[in-house]
Amino acid sequence: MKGVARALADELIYQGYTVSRASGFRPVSVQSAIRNSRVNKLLSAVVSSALIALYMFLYYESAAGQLRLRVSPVAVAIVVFAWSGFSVVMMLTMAIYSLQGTGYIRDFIYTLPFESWEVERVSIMSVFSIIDLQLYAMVALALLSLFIFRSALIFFSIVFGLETAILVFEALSRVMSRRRLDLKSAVRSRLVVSVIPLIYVLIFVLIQPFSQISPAGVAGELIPLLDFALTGSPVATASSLVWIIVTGYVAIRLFKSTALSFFTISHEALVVPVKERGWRITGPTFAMLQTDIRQVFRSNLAGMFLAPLLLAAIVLFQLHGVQAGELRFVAVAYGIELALLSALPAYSIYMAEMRGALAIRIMPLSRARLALPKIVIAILSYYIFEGALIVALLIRGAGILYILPLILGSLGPAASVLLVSIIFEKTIMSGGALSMPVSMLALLLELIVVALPFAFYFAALLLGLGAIYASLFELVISAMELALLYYIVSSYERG
Amino acid sequence: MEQHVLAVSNLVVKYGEKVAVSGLSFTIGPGEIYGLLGPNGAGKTSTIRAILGLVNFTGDVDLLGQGRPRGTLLNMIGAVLETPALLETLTVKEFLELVASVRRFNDVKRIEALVHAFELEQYMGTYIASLSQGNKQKVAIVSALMHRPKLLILDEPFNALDVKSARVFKEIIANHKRDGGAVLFSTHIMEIAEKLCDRIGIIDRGKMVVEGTTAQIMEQVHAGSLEDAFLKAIHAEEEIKELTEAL
Repeated sequence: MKGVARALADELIYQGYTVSRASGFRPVSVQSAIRNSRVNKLLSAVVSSALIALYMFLYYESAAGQLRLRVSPVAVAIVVFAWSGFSVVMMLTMAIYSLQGTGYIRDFIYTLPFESWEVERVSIMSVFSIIDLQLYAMVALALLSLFIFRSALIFFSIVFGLETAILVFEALSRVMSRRRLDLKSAVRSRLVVSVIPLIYVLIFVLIQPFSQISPAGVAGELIPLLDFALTGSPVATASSLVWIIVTGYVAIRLFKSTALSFFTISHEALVVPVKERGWRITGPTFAMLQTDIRQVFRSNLAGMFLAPLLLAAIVLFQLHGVQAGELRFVAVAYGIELALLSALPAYSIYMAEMRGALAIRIMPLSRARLALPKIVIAILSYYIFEGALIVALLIRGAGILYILPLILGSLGPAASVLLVSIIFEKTIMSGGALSMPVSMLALLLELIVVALPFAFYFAALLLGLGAIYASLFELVISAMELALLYYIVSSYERG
Repeated sequence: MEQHVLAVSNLVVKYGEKVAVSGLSFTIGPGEIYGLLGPNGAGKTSTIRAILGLVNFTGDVDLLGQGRPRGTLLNMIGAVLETPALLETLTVKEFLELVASVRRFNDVKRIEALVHAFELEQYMGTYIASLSQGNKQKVAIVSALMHRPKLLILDEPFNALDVKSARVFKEIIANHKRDGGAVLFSTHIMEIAEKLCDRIGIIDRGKMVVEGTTAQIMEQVHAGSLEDAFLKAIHAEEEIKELTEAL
């Protein structure tokens, strides 16, 4: 039975990495895809553990007075809580989404001569195997923190983070395995599935405000983890312990049924009440644009559309605290952040396109034309975000020269879409999904493509060329990036 | 000289170190149905994927003398793949609208006639993800046929089809041939290959083993039926005997 569970776990991790069942593309080398999927799992565990270890080190060094920097216990508790949960949720959701709409693993299990308790056991063991490395690494860190450093803060944060992550996954799994019968319910479910993982993104973004929470008020006594981080009092310790025990109990109780439902995830098994309407046949670009948006909003990736909106709202909020004299540089610095955010929706569309990539690639569409709707979305997103920033700047009394680089900056995000297109095509032609190293590389390159024109703007300003010339310089550099990447996309011969 | 619809020469497809197709060559003329037969893993699907540009390959693929079928040239092809290539988060109607839009095809009557022929009307508002395998196959077939392509590429197209739909599809293929269209057809079912195909290429381990009309192939390998010819061509007859005796 252990062998079956191990084989199923390997298949889940492999599908989470290649998405081959959903995309229809075969990995060029199955051996290396299997190896990469395992490395991906190992890397997730190593990266999250290393980050937690770093925070742990900073916290204890700061507490011991070895650092000039004062590390807030609340911030450490929240970061450790979020990181320990984030990697677990990501590994599980990767596997679960790759299985959507395919019942082949369930069919396989039920064709084996197993009793129902054995089926349950195999399911639990295989789902557990997806996150075993993370769990072992985190628990080791938690114990290290408790017994070596003799502090419960990191221990509580890790354990509560893991328990909450498993509960989050259980909630996601339950929402996704519901047989939705009406459109409203389906939309609600999709929204929940999209928004829940955003909680982690928000936690990372809101670390600064969190770390300034004062011990006064209800948080001091009742909110799990925060109570202990804020006061460290016996009541807070007891309260945190109770929370951890209750959450752990519920998470473990629900894990069995969740593991079983893992293999029976339906995929919007829904008949849409379509109003009688004629055929809507449009041009290829508009049709692809419509399809791209539909695909994203009908998948878990809708959250990647919502995340930039939330982050943009935070940037605008932070603008209030900026001194008038710093406005020019801050305006462009925030402008770069928002420009980067505007590339995210297009990136998420490529991720959504992974499902059904085969269907799109047998249609008469060049890669450049496939990228066009995504470029439109990136430019629209750019002007929505930057537009809000421009309005905020104008209200603060900024002149036209302050906002000129923002108005002229849309070609950078457009170019970054083409860059993602190149990486995406190369990845799916080799039959793999965007693994963590490739995703990080893609993100880094995207960052460079978006930020480079702004860097030239700053360089021109420092050389004393003036805001108008600096902005034009920025425009020329982004246009060159766009032209170069468009040339690569157009000339890249498939096959 | 009559121009070919599809010419494949010296096609090589590799997956890492593994060679899936090794120097395969064949041509398909107008009004011709070419059957690609072979055992599992022989390289049929890899050949089809290479023609459609879905895997990297070396060698030449030429569609109607215009080069590799890429970009807008793919509009001359209608393909039904072994696993239906569909966008599962769209409804059937949304998917067919997308295909028609991308192919710049607006003959709605033709689409509706195909939808009716494959009895898909009741599923127009259903997400493709929740369709049965047979209905998914029908959607893939309608999307491949709607724009009257010059070349149909069909990889195990009768998979999961009910008897009525299979018959309808066979009639459509026959009409397509009569109108001068070409078909590249991959199947495991010898009876269908024998009935439908004008010429057949039997491949094994990525190489062409024997090629010709059914009669020519049977004559070449001295067999009484296409099934026997197939088994002889891939040297499986003796092996089958040994295997069944060992049972």
